[in-house]
Amino acid sequence: MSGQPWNNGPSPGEQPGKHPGRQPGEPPREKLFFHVDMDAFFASVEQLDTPAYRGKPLLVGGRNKRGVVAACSYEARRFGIHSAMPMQHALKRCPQAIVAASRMERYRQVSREITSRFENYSPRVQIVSIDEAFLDMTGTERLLGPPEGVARNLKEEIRTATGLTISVGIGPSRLIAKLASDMDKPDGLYRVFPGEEASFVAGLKLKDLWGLGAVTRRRLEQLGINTVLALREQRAEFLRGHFGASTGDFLYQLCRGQDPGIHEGLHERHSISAERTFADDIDDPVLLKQQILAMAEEVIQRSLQEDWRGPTVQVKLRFPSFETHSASRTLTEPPGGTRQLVAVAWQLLEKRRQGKPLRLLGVGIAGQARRNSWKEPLQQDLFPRETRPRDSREDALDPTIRQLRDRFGSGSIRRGLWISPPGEGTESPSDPKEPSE
Amino acid sequence: MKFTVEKDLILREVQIAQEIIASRSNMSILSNVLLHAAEGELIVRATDLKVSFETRIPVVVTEPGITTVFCDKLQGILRSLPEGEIEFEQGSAATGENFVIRPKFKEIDFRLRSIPADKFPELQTHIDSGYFDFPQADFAEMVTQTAFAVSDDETRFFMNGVYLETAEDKLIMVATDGRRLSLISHEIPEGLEHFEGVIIPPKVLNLVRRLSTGEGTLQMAIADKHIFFAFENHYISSSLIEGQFPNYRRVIPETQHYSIQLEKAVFSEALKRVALMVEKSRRIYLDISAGQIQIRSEESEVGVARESVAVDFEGPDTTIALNYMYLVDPLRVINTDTISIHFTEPNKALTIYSEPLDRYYHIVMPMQLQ
Repeated sequence: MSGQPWNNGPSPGEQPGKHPGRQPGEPPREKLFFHVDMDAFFASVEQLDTPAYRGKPLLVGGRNKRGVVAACSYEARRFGIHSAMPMQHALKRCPQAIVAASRMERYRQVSREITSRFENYSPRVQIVSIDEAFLDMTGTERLLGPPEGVARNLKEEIRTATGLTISVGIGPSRLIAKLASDMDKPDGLYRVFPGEEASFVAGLKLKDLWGLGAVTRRRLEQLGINTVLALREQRAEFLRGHFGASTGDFLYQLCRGQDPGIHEGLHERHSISAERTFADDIDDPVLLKQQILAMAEEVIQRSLQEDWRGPTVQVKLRFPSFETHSASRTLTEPPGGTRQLVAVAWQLLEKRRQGKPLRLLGVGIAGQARRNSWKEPLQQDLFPRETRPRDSREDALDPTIRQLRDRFGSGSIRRGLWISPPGEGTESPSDPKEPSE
Repeated sequence: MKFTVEKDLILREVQIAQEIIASRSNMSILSNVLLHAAEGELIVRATDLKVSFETRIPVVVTEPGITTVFCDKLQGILRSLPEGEIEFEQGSAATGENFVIRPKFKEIDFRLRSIPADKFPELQTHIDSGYFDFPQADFAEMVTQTAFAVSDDETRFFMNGVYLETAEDKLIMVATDGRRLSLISHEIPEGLEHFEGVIIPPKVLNLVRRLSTGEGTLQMAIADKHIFFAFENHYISSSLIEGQFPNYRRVIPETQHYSIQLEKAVFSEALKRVALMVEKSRRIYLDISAGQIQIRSEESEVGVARESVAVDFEGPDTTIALNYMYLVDPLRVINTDTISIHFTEPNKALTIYSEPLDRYYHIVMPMQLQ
C-alpha cells in the first residue's frame, strides 16, 4: 500500500487512531511511536538540487572563521566530520569537501512537503524540528497493518515524492523510537519491541543516549561511569546526589530505556526565532541593525508561513566573553511585521548591549496572544480606528514578500539592507531603496 | 472583644465579605475580614483595595473590641456549625491570642489566628453628602442589560467597565468590548446633577445588583474617583476605572434599512442547537430571505447544522456572519417574548431590540463572511 492509506479507509472525521475496533474490557493498547529523521537533511537537499554535489563530501554552513557545519553528507562523515563542528576544523579533515551555503527557505519548503504526508498515517503528528518528527501510531495497527510495513510505505512515499530518504525508528515510547531511528541510518528502519527497551539501551554508547550532554557525560566519566550498564548499576539516590533531583531521575530512567517524557505535550509551537554567530564580533550599530533586520525578516517570513505569531519579542545576545543575555517584551498584539519587530528588538538590544561588541545575536517571537494567527480577525470591530491603529501598508509588505518568493524563488526580492527601523535616522543616501515600496 | 449573635445573621455578611476578598493567601491582611464590636452592633468590613464593603448587624456585645480573621476559614467554620447562637471572643490580637468561635449549648471550640485591626487598610465605604436615590429594580435592570458586554481584555482597560453618564436629560449606562455594545437609558433621578461620565468596574455593579432586594431605592454617589452605594445595612464603594471611554455614539447606527421580528424563545432554541456545530471561531450565519431566516453553522470536519425559522421579512436576500455568543448574551437579558433585529448589510452593525421597544438595545458587529 502506498500513497495515502487513510483516504482509502474511513473518512478523516472518524479519527481511526483513537480506539478502532477496541472491544469493552480489552486491555489498553500498547503505545507505538514512529520517529522520523530526515537523513543528513540539508546536505541531502543540496545534493538533490545540485547533481554535481552527489557522491561527494559536502558541508553545508558558513565558510567564515566562526562558521559551523550545519549539515554534512554521508560522504563527508567518513572523514570524521559531523554537524556542529567548526567549519575550519572540518575543512582540515577533508580539504576537498564542497562547502554550500545553507538555504533555509528551501529546506523548510522540502520539510513541509515531507511532514505534510505524515498526517496520512497518524492523527497525532509532532513536528519537533525541520528534519524530525514523531508520529503517535498507537492503535493504528488494525487499520494500517504491521508497523514495519507502514514504515516502509511511508519511506517509499517520501522517496517517490521528494527523492529523499528518511530513517524511521519504531518503539513503544518516543525515547525508544528516537534512539531506534539512529540505528540504521541512512534510509533506515529499526524497530524495538515492547519489553526489549532495557536491553536495547544497554547496547548503546553513553554518547548515543538522548539528552545526555557533553558536560554530564564528562561528570559521569569522572565518576568512573563509562557505559550504559555501569550507569544502570547506580542507585537513584547516588545520581540525584551528584546531578540534582531532575537530572538524576532523568539518568536513572534513561539507562533503563524508560521514557522520561521527552517531547510530551509538545503539540504547539511556542516560539519562532533566528540567531547568528558573527565571523567577527560586531559593535557597529549600523551592522547590528542590518543583522536584526535580516533575522527579523526571517522570523516574520517563517511566522507567515506557519501562520503563527506571538506577542513576546525576544532578543538573545552573547558577548565575546561568552556571557549570554536575553531580554523580552510582551506587546499588546503580536508585531504587525518586520519593521515593528526590528524596532522593538533594537530597543531591547541596545538596552542590554550598552555599546559592547557582540559575538552572537538572536531575535524571536513567542507567547500566547488573543490571536496567534495572521489571518484577518473574523470578528469586525465597532471602533476600527481606535482599536487598530496600524499602518495597513506596513502590514501588507511582509505577506507580499512571501508571495513573491513563493512564486519567483527566494532570491527574487530582498530588502534594501540599509533601511533603518522607524525612528532611526541612519539611512545612507547611496543605498538602494526598498524594492517593494 | 466578646459578642454573641445568631449564626445565620453573621454568616450572610461573612459570605458577602468573602465574595469581595480577592486574596486567597492566609498570610495576607487582605484575605481577612474585619470585625468590630461596638454599642450593640457588629461592623463587618472587607476589601480587595478596589471594592470596599461595610455592613452593620445587631449583636449582643459583652466586651467591645476589634480584630481581623481569615475570612475564607471563618466562612467555612460558620457554614459547618448548627443553627443557633454563637459566641465570639478575641483576646489581644496583638499578643497573638486566637479568635475563639464557640456555639452555645455545644461542645465546639474553634480558634482562628487573627491579625490586629490596625494593619487593616483604611476604607472609605461612604461619604457624608452627594447621594441620590435610585430605584433598586431599575438599577438592577440597567446592570443586567449592560455589564455582560464589557471587555475582559486588560489591554483595553477603559472598556473593562460600564460607562455611566448624563446626556440629554437621560442617565445612560453603556458597555462595549469593541465589537458589541449594550446601552440602556433612564430618566435622571431627582437630586442628581450633571456629571462627567465615569467607568465603573462590573464587580461592584454585579455585587450591588445581587445584594439589593429589588424593592425601594438605593443611594448612589460619585465622588473622588469612587462610586458609593448605600442600601439596607450595606455600604459598598469601588474605585472607578480611569481612562477615556470610546466615543460610543459614533458607532450607534443612525438608520438601518431592514428589520425582522422573532419569537425570542424560538430563536434562542434554534441558536442553541446550531451552536452545537459551531467551531472555535463561534461564527454562525444568518441567511435572511423573504419569509424566513436560516441559522446555519460553518461547514466543518465535524459536519454542519441548519435551522429555519419563519419570519415576516421583505427585502433582499442577506447573509450575515456573527459570533453566536453576541446573540446569545443579549437574548438572555432581553425581557420580552419578541425581539427585533435591525440591519442594513452584512458588514454593518446590527441592532437587537426588545419588542415592544424598551429603554435598552444591543449593537453587534458582524464577522467576516469570507
